[in-house]
Amino acid sequence: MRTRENLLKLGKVSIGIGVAAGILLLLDTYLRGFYIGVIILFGINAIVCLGVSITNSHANIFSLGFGGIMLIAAYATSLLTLPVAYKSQFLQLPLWLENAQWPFVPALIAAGIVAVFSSVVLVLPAFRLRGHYFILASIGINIVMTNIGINLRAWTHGPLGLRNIPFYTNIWWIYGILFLTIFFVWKLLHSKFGRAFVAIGKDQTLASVLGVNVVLYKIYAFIIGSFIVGIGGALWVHHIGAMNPHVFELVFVFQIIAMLAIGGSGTISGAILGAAIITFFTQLARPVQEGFILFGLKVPPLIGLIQVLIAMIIILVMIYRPQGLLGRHEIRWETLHEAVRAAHRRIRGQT
Amino acid sequence: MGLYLVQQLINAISYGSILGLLAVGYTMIYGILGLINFAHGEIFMIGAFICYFLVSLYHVPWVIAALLAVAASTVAGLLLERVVYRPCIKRKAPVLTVFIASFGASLGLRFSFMMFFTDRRRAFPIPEFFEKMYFWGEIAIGLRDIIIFVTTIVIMSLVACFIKYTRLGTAMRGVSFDTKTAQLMGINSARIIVAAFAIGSALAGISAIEYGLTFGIVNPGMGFTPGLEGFIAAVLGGIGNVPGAMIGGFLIGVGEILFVALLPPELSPLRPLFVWALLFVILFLRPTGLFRPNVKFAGIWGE
Amino acid sequence: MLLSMKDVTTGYAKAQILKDISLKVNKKEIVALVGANGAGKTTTLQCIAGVIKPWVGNVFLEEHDLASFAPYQIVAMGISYCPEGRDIFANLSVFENLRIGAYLIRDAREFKLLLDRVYSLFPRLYERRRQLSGSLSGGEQQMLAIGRALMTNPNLLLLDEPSLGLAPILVEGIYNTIQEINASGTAILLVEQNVGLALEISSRTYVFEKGEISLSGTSAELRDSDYVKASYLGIV
Repeated sequence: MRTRENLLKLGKVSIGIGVAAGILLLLDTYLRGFYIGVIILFGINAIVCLGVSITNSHANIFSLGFGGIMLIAAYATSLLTLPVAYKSQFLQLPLWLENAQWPFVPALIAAGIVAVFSSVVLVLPAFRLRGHYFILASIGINIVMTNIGINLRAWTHGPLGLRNIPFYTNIWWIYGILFLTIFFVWKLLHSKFGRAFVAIGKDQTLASVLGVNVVLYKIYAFIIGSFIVGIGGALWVHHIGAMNPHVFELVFVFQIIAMLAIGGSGTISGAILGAAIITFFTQLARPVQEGFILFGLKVPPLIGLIQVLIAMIIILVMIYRPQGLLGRHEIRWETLHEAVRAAHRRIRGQT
Repeated sequence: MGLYLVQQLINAISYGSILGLLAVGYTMIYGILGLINFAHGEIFMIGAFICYFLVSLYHVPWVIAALLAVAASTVAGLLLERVVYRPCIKRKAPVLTVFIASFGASLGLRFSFMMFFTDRRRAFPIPEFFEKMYFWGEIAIGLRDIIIFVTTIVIMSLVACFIKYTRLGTAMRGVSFDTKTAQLMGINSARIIVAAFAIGSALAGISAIEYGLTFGIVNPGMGFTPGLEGFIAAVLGGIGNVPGAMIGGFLIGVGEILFVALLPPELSPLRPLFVWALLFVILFLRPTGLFRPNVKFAGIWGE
Repeated sequence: MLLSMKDVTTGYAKAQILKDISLKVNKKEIVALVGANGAGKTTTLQCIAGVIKPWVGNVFLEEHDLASFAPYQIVAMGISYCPEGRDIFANLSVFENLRIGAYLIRDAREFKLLLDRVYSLFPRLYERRRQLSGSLSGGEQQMLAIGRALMTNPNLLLLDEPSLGLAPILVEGIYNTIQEINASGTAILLVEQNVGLALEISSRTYVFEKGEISLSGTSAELRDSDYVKASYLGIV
C-alpha cells in the first residue's frame, strides 16, 4: 500500500515537472525580449516574496529591511562577476576582488551568504525593539544602505552604478531556483523546525512558554529569509546587467509587500499569486503609462499611474480582504479537484 | 569657527521647527490610534503644493494662500482618515494591515502628484518681505528665520496648553492611553480621532509653509525625508508624548545641521546617516524613546 | 423602575455566557449581583453598559431600549460603569482623571459641584489631587475609579468588584462611601465576590450560577436562606 502511494506521488511529481519543463521550453522558444523579461521578473519576484514571507509572515517579524539586504547582496555578487576590465577602470577594489571572475552558481551562493551576514549584523541589534520601533529601524536600514551605495564610490561607482554585469540569468535558472525554493519552503514549513517559526508567528509568548527559544528561531527565520532574498537580488542583477543604489528602495519594498498582501502572506501559493498579479500588471501596463490614443483622444503620459493604482488596490485589499486573496488556504491538487467538482455540480444543478 | 557655528545654529533652528511640528502631528495620531500615519509626509507636501499653486497660478495674496494651504493639509488629513483609516478601524484590522494601507496611501499620494505634476522641482513662492536680513555683528539673521521660530514656539505652546488644560486635550490624552476606558466616560473616540487628525494635519501644513520658506523647493517627493525624520523625532520623544516630540524635532534638526557643520565637507552626503545613527543609538539605550510614552503599553501592540 | 433586563442571552464572540437573564433596578436602590467567578456577573454589567450587546432579549433604561446605543451614548443617558481592575488613566493626575470623567459636563458650575462632592466623599483624593494617578496605592486608585465614575452624575452606577484586592479596613471605608453615594440619590448595581458584604449593603440581591440567575429576592430573605448560607456564607 505504502509503495503504491509513493509511486503515485512520484508519478504526479514527474508529470508535474515534465509539464513545467515543457511550458518553459515553449516560452523560451517562442517568446522574445519584453515578454520573456516579464516572465523572468515574475520568477524573481516570486522568489523574493517567498523569502520575505518566511520572515515577515510566518515568523511574524515585520521587517522592511530586505531592500537594504538585497542591495548589499546584489552589489557583492556583481563585484564578483563583473569583467576585470570594467572593475579596474571604474572602481578601486582590493586586488583579489578586482581579479575575481566567478561563475554563476558560486556568485549566487555568495550573494546568499553576504545577505545572511548583513542581516545578522544589521538587523539583529534591532531585535531589542518591538513593533513600530522595529519597523522604523528596518526602514532605516534601507535608507542607510542606499546612502552608502551612493557614497562608497570606490566600491559601487556611486549614483551611476555598475554596468556590464554578465547576463547569466535565463528562464531555466529562474524557474529551477524557484521550484527549488518552493520545495524548500514547503518542506521547511512542514518540518518540526519550521513549525517553530509558525508558532512564534502566531503567538510569541505562548511559544516561548512552550519551550521554543524565540530569539534563536527568529534569527533562523531571518537568516533563511535573507538567504533566499539575497539570491533573488543576485538573479535580478544578472538579468538586468546593471546596478545602482536606488533599485531596491522603498518603492520596491512596497511592491513586494503589496504582492504578499494581495496574494495572502500566509501561504506559498499566496506569495506566488501576489507576485504574478503585481508583476504582470506592472510590466504589461507600462505602455499605458507612456501615453496612448483612446478613441481618437491623445492621453498624455502619466508616469506613476501604475504605482497609484497598486496603492489604491492595496488599500482596498487591506480594508476589505486583509488576509489576501488566498488567505490561509494553499492551492493543492485537492483544491483544484473541489473547484472542478463544485463547478460541475452547479452546472448540473442548472440543467 | 564660533561665528560659523552660530550662523549654522540659526539655520538649524528653522529646520528643527519644521521637524518639530511634523513630529507633534505624528505623535498625536500615533498616540491615539496606535498607528503610524505613513502618509503624514504627503499631507505636508500637499500643503506646500497648494500654496505654490494658489500664488503662482491664481495670484492669491501670500498670507491668504498660506492659510488656505494649511486648511488644505487639514482637509487632506481628514479625508485620509475617512477613506483609509476609519474603515480599517471599523473592521478591527490588525495593526500590520493598517500599516500596509498607510504605506500604500503614502506612495499613492506621492505618485498621484508625480503623475499630474511631474517630478519637476518648483519654486516655492517667497514674498520679498521674508528676505529681509538683520545683521548682528557678522551674523546674518533672516527675518524669515525669526518669524518661523516665533510662529513655531507660539503654536507649540498653544498645542501644549491645549493638550494639558482643555477638556478635549485631556480627553485626547485619555483616549491615547486607554481607548476602551475613555469610552466609559462618554467620550466618542471616533470624534477624538478626527480631532487628532485635524490638528496633526494642520501642523503638517504649517510645517510645509515653513519648509517652503526655508528651502524654496516644492516637488512631489519633498515629504518623504522630512516625514521620516519627523517620525523619528516623534519616536525619540516617546510615542504620544507631545512635548517630547517637540524636543525630538529640535534635537534632530539642530543635530543634523551641526553634524554637517562640524564635520569635514567630504562627509556631508552622509547627513541622513546621522539621523538614523542617532535613532539607533538612542533606541539602543532607551528602547521606548527619551521621554515617557503616553500609551498604556509602551511596547506597542499590547505587549 | 430605572433599569430592567428581560430574558437576555449573550456572550463574547462565540462564547455564550448569559442565559435568560432578567433583573431590575429601581431608583435609589442598591442591588447586588453575587456568584462564583465566571458566573456572568461582569458580563451582565458590560451588557448594561453597552460594551457587549444582547443576542436575545432587551435592556431597558426607563423606556429606552439600549440595544442601538454605543457605550459613550449610554453614559450620556445616565449610566456610569466602573469596571473591575481600577482602569484609571495612570498617565494623568487625580484631578485630570476626574476631569475626564466629567467630559460630558459642559457647565463649569456643575463640574465644580460634582468635583466637590467627590472630594468630600474621598478626602484622600483631594489631598492627592495633583499627584500622578499611576503612583497611588490600590485603595486610592479604587477611590479614584469610583469618584471618576461619579463625575458623570449618573442615575445608575455600575460597580464591579469594588473591594477586590483591598485590605478589610479600606473595604469598610469604601462601602461606607457607597452607602453615602446611594443616600444622595444614585441607584447602584453592585457586583461583589464577598457575599456577606453584598447582602449587608444591598436591598435586593441576584445570585448568579453558570450564567443564569439561580436565586433572587430581598437581601434580608437571602441572608436567612439555608442555601445561601451553606453555599456562599460557609454557614452550615
